Amino acid sequence: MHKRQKPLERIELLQGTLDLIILQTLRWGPCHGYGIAQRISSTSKDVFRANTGSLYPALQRLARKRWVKATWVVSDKGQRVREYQLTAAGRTQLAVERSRWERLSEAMALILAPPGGSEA
Amino acid sequence: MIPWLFRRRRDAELDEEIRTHIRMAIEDRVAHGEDRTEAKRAVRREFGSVGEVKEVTRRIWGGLWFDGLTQDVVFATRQFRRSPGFAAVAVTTIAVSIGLTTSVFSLVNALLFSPLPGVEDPARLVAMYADEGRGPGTASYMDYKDFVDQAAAFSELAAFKTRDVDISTNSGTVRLRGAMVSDNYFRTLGVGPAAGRFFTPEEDQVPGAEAVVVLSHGLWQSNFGGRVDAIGESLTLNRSAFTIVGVTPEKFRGTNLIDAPEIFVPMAMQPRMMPSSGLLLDRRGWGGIDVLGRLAEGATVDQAAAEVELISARLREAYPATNGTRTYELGTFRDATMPVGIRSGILGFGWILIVLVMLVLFIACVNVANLLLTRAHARQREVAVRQSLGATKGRLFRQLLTETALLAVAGGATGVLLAFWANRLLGAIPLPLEARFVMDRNVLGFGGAATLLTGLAFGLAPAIIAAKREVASGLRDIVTGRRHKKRVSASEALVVLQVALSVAVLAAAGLFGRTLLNLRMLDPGFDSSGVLTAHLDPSLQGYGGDRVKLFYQNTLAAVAAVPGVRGVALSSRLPGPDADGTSIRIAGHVPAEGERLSMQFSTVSYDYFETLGIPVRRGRRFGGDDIEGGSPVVVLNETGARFIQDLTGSEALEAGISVQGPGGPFMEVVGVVADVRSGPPRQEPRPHMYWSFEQVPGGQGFANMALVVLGSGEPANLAGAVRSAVTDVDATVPLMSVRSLDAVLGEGVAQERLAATVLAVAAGLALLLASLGLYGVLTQAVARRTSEIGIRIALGAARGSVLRSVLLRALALTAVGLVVGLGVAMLAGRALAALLFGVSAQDATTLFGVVAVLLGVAVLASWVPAHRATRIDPVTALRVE
Repeated sequence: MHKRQKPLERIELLQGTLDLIILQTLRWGPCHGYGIAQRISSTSKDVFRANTGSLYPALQRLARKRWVKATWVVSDKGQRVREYQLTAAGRTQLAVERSRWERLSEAMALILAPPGGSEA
Repeated sequence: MIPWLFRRRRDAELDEEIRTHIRMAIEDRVAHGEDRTEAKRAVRREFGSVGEVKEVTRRIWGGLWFDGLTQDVVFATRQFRRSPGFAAVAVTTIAVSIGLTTSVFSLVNALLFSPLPGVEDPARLVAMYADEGRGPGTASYMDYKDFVDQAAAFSELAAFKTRDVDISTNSGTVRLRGAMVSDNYFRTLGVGPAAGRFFTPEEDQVPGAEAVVVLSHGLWQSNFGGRVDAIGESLTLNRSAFTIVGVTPEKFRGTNLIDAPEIFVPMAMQPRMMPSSGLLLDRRGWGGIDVLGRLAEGATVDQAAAEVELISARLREAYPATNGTRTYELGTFRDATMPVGIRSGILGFGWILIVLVMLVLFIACVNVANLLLTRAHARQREVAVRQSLGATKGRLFRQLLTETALLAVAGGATGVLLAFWANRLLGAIPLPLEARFVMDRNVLGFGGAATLLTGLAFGLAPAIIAAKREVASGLRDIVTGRRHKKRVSASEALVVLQVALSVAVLAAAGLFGRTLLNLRMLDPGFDSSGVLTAHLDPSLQGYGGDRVKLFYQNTLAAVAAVPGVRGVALSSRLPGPDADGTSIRIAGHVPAEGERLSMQFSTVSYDYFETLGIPVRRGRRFGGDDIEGGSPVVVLNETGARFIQDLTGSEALEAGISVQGPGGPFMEVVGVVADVRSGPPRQEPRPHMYWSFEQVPGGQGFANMALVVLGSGEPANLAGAVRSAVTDVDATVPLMSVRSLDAVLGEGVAQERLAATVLAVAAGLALLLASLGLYGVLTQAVARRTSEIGIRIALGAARGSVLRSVLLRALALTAVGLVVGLGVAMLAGRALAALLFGVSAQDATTLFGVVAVLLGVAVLASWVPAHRATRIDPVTALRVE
């Protein structure tokens, strides 16, 4: 499953999308890698399964762009985990990404919606 | 080191993060009631390969430089092992051209950057000259002593004088270059003994007292077999015994590039080194000493120069009689090692050679670049697959660049080794210099830099082209079989460039070859065939006055009696090297204000003109009446006769020439002989007068006479008999430089010979590389057009027309290259013009020959691919698609 997905993930759109999803997820508060993966699958009702092979590189990429900040903390279960937190720049970026996505989905909806509402 | 440490930390952190992730996932599943083993397996499956996740994540970090490099090198090595032919051709091409370039550079280097091997920190050395209004000259020893006592700007001030010296052993006497040196000479130069010791101050104290000698490494090896116990043994120099105290290091070749001393004695031994002059060291008027100084710690050249000027003024005041017009000044050490004129001549020549061999190096780069392009073409499937598997363009680019770097390094290293070997071969050509093809840090650095640039030159473009290709288009092209036309024309353009550069190199080689030929064919004005020459000098064996003359007369008689000798004569110099001039007065000619007439001269025995076949134009040769006490006579060469005639307006024959001051006797011109080329071969004949050996009083003028012997066969065969004839007259007088006159003349063209040899190799290499390039491009083109040609053959095209079309393509490329190349050659010819002789830099014959050779090579190189094209089977060709 992992291997089959890989070529698709390299497509620009999906990569940007994953970034958007991660940023959106972190808007609810700092979270570690596993938590982010869990949140994504539960929020999307399991439609998206964040693949770890894309998740961790994406997190590193976001950290490099200083949209998220990584800190080591001790979780409530006593485990040392790396938590990611949205930065100010990340919030701005999230707004940008969101508006882009909305325009995209509006456009997609227009294209996909049959003219006049009738299909055949 | 820091980024690496940094990376390790990040690595560990990522590791921990992933482990936590997996642990949490498992815990979650277990919490939901799954079996732990089952949960573990599920998580593993879900997570995928931990290694791959880490690898992909790490790539985001960048800075994997070192890791990637090892990987790249391993990968590249594997690639080359898979196609050894390609690697071998590429490495050989680079190696040969780097070898050639490095070897030629080593000569330039020897002249320019490290003029004297074995001398420590030459930048701190200066030369001191005495100027008496005629330009910088040698210094007086007495003055030198005063400078040593007074100057503070020098840590050492050394004096030396080179002088020939006779060494007598059981097997006879030989003449070698020697030097008298002050005791601190070696210390000044920073040279330590290879064995024994150098001189002590005490040994340079009392004139003629301490007969000690230091041998050169070469002499120690050849005459004493490098035995350490040779130290302390006795050596006979100029008929007196000297004790060997030390040996110079192998690298040390003296302080002059023109001649390297084999023998060093203390300055105080001057009377024994110059037996006919007596003691000169105590005469302030005698100026024959070379002075070198090492600047003291912290002293600048300017400070030293100021001090020299000060002391010079002091000496002028103290000794007005000798030092009245004498000024001391400083010069650079480098200029002291070689006359400026010679240096600039050889340097200009060296640079032109360097540029030409660099062209070959460049052609080689183009070849390798073309090979790489071809390979990049063949590897597009590999590149496309790797890209689709996630390799970034940068990564691919680096991988390709690593491959070329590996080729460059392998080629460069082999090339430098080749240069060592080539230097030995080129070193066999006798140059009028001590400078040799030496490999040192500069040369190795040059080789390294050349390798680096080479790698960049041939590696960058193909790597960019190969890595730039889009995945999609790469895969599509493979599927559809479409090829990119653009890249093909890039290789074709490279071939055109190669042909053009080859034309330039070939033309230069041709011009130098013809120059060499012209110089050798030059009519010297005498017949050198069958003539053996040697030098004799009895003066160091105590001969003087009439005894010298008697010795020479006996020698002439003894050699004349040798079977096979058809003629023998003496001359104070051989035709060839430049002679000294002497100032003259001409009877009936009143010199204008400031006019100074001078003429070259030599003293010759009766049969000189006959032995060398120099024709008498007017008047007569020397005869039996031209002896001491007879009416003084002189014979002129034609240029000399013209010179006199231009001055006096009347025929030179019977004119009077005097070499003495006003009131001195005139010598009558009794004959005019043909001009003989003297001096460098390019130089026009100069006015020259001959004196009769029998008429000139014996004495110092007869030190070092040349013996010319005309035999009926090969001159070398006479050498033994002539030598024993001279030995019979006096075994202690050395017979020196026994060579054929042809060999002597050959030395005058050593520089041209070197140029012609190097350029012949360079041109051959250029031709080979250009033809390989053409061959490669055509083979590629034929392979690419397989289906097209197949279709044409299937449609009934004659094989001949297919052959023609491929050949025409080759000739078209060559023609473009030729036109460009000829233009370059014509322009470059201007730079060569000064070095050529008897051939114009735009010589039509040479250029035509170059064109013919290149066209021939082009046809040869394209024949195989053209033939391959005609043999294409249409059925197979079409099935390929």
